[in-house]
Amino acid sequence: MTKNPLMLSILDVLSGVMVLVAAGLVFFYAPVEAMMGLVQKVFYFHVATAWVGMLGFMVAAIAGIVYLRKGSPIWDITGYAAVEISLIFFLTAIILGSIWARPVWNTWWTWEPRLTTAAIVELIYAAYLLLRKGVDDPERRARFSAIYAIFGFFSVPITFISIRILRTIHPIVIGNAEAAASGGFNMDSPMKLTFFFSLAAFSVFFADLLWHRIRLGKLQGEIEQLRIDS
Amino acid sequence: MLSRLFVPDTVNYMIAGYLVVVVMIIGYISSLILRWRKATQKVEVLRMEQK
Repeated sequence: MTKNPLMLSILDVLSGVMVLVAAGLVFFYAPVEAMMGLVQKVFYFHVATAWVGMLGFMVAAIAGIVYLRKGSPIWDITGYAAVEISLIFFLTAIILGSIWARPVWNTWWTWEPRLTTAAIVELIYAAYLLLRKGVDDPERRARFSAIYAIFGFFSVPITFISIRILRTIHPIVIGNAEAAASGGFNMDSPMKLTFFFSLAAFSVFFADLLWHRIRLGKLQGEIEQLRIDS
Repeated sequence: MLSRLFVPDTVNYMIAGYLVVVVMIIGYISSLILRWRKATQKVEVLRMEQK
């Protein structure tokens, strides 16, 4: 239990290398955007961390559905792990967006649709962690968490489409931007390569962290069980 | 060439952004390692107590 499986060790190395290569592409390969300057380079990891955040919330919702159908604790552990990791990445994306917005929008924060819905998503999933802390019985906790993760996930696609259906200053880099959007740009080939490689690198990194967090969750479950038995 | 002269100087914001990424990632990995060690020790103690 305590020794890492070989595949996990390989994934550790692969994800570490991929994230470093992504950082290398950001700093040394992707060109400097003329209107925004170097702060535009924040965009690559901003989108990648936001993507991983949303991916994890989706994993939690799927794990919740499977838990309600099968009742196996592993799906509860998976959902919890996915939410915890995604909260970290989504918060990172929000902070990165705020840092990018300061020189581009001349403000750290504005209550426009994307930022508002993203803040709501973060709070919804922070409340998920509080919910888990508030229920002692493992089965009830797992059932409540599963239902919460499924309904909580409805906030994620709303955040994703908010900039596509509502009037907003948040730029849409892929697809058509709203007329009021500010800070958008057209990606050339090196930018596209850096962007998609960053998405792939963070997806692999997420899988790696999820695996580690699930192993930790199993160990914590074992502790809980040993305490009940003794 | 001329356009390069007018690129805004936003390097500090970029550095701040990537510092946030590094701190968040290292912070989370450290918390995972610490919790893993703590949990491993606790499991061993509880197993010993059961014997």
